[in-house]
Amino acid sequence: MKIYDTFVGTIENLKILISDKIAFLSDITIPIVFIILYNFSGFIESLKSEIISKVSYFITNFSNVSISLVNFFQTNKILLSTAIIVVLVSIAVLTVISYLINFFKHGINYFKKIKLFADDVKKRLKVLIKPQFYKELKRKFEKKISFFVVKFLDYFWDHFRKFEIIGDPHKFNSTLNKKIDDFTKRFVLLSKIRTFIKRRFQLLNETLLLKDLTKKQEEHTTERQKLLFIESLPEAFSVFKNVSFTENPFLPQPWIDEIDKHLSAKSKGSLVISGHSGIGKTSLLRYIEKKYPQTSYYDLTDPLKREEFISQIDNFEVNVDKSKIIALDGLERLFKRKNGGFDLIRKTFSLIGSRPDNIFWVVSENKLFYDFINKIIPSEGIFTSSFSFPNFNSDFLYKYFDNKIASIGYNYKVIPDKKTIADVRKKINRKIISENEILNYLKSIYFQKIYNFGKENIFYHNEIFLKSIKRVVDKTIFIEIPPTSQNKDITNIRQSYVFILFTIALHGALKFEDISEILLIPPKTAEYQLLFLENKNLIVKKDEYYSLNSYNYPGVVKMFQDRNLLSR
Amino acid sequence: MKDNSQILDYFNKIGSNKIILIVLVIVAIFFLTKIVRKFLNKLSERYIVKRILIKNFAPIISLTINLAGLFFIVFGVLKVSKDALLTFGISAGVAIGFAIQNLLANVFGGLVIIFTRPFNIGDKIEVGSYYGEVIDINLLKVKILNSDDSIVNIPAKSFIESSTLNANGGELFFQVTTTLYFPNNVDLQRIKEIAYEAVYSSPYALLDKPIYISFSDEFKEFLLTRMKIKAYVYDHRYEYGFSSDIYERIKKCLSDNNFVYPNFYRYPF
Repeated sequence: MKIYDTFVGTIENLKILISDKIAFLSDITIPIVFIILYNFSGFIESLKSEIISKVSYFITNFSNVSISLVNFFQTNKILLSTAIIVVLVSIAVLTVISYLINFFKHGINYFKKIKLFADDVKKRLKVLIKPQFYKELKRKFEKKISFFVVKFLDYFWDHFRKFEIIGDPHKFNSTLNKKIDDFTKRFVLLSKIRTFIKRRFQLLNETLLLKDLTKKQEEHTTERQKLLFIESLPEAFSVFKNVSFTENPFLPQPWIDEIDKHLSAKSKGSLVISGHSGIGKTSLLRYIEKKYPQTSYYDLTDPLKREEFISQIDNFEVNVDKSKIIALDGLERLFKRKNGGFDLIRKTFSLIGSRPDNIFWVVSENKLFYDFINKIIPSEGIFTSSFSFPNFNSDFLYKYFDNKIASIGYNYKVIPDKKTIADVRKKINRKIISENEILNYLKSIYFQKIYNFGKENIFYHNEIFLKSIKRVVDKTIFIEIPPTSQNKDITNIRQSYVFILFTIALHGALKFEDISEILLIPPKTAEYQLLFLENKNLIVKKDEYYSLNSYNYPGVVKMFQDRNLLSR
Repeated sequence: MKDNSQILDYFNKIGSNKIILIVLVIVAIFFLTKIVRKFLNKLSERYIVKRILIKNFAPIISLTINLAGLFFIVFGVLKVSKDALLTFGISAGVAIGFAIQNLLANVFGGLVIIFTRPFNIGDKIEVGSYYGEVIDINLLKVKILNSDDSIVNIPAKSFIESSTLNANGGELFFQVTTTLYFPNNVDLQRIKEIAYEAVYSSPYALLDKPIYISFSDEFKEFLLTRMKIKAYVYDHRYEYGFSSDIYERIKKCLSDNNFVYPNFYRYPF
């Protein structure tokens, strides 16, 4: 008995110790350990009878209660069952009623959902009826089996090539074909695989092409070496450094005409142009400046010009001649997101909104800033018309670079990385494709990747293109697919850093003092936080101004969306 | 007495193998639920916009794992027949029921919370004197992370007995009230302007939602003007950060512009 008590006591102590985390488990452990002791240990054997008597006493006491309970259940069977049924039915009715109320509340949505669902089901069912579906299914199945066989062969194929057993592939091809034919003729099942084996050797040229492209050469590993290499490129490559407005693919021609119409009417009014930095807002303003000599152009990103504009903002109309176009580039630079930082923007907006006679305003804004300021001061009340740069896709980029590279008299090839090689091999396994098709496929993959890098930002794309040039041999440019932009550090970054990144993106570029003033961070803290971001390659410093790194721009924007800072 | 001896016989038959298996199953359930919860937590912190939706699955998944484990132990390992379960259930069930009445009440409370969903993991709730973000719901208790970054364990049955306040109702954004006091003769228009600008410039602010500013008189030692700013924060986790940020911005602006600010210091005379 003593042992049992101490045992329970220690278990109780243990229970208190681990009460919070596994309280529920420890409740179970007592009987389990008890049973274990009861079963194996010899010295408990003496206690067995005592314990049995204890347990039986316990059970007999309660069995009386239970017997009376059972009797009660048996005598009042009907009453109890009806009660249970009533309770269950009432619960069911209540739930149905609550669902019905919900249903009527959101009735329209439900119907819409049901309709969509029905349409979806219909579509799927329609597919099932067609015999084409079953053919496709069969084809897919066959493909899958043959794919595994080919993969198996691939493995050996690589080994053969490693030890150079094969020699000249073309000779080998013809001799082997016969052998394979002789062998597989006997088997009906292997006929499908036979074609694939043959295909392997037919595609030898293509796989050799991949090997040619990935041939190892001198590499520019450091950033400095890369920059030096870019500078050493022929002069024709300077078109990638300075993007001219005439070749901007993001501005459709009708828009330029419309802007021209606006401007040539010499009426009073205003136009706001918004877009991500580098998409061509400045170029558009420069184009306007060139076309209409009466334009006075204020580059607000230039500190001196900005000061000039700010100094004459209070009595602007006095300084301006009649019939003029005023172009303001980078309106976000007049603004600081802090108390009193909105004053200049308000003044400018009221100046534009008052519509002085015969002055046409053309204002460009950063996309983030445009979305932000619209929530505070709606631009519809101030500007008579607005234009935001349209979206584009990777095909567009492909065409753009194709034309650009052809115009300087070069052609280009893409060096695949490991993943794309696997992709190409898969493609080859399914279908015989020519050398040209492979090259084009690689190009499309490359442009898809760099499109994801600097979405809607042609300046960044040009920069990335220059950086991804590996070597130039006889008028052919070899470019490599850049590593994925998704920086793992971005997703797990701390909130204070996110705020810094967001403010920098919103303002375009910011000085160190401004960052600490806007976000109310002590200067010493701001210093190391900025250093951290600089080391992570998320921001770059240029003439005291911090701005977002072009390479990580889309990743950062996606992170803003993930964190609910930006709407998608 | 026949029934009793049957039960004892049954206990006698349980071999060591079975006991080891049961222990293993319990350990496996424990770790499996932990792993699932950890995975969901990581996933939800990665995709913050869907945070509350992802975290919803945790209690239901762990409940199903636990129930499956229990069924496996009872019917798979112990192979309890229906009759034995009935007799044991009636006799021991009553006894255990009395002994762990509180525990059972909590279990049913937990079930009610999991299935009726008055709040989800990730919501901000107030129960009694406790207020904070729900970080875990299980059969026995609800864990709340309060503003001091300490975890409060609230027994699940108390949610049936008392009323709860769900501050954000499944959404991430959240209205925050910031209160400030000014001397009674303050220029309200100017102060309002400063307050609006402070909200606009706070990085925590969700500007898609409206901002409310209200004034009223209040007597604290002397007559004061109380300003209440109601604005939305984009993620309710930054509730305190947001209100403190607005407060800091307004105070900084006032001190920069040499504005009078009420002094609560009592002069000894």
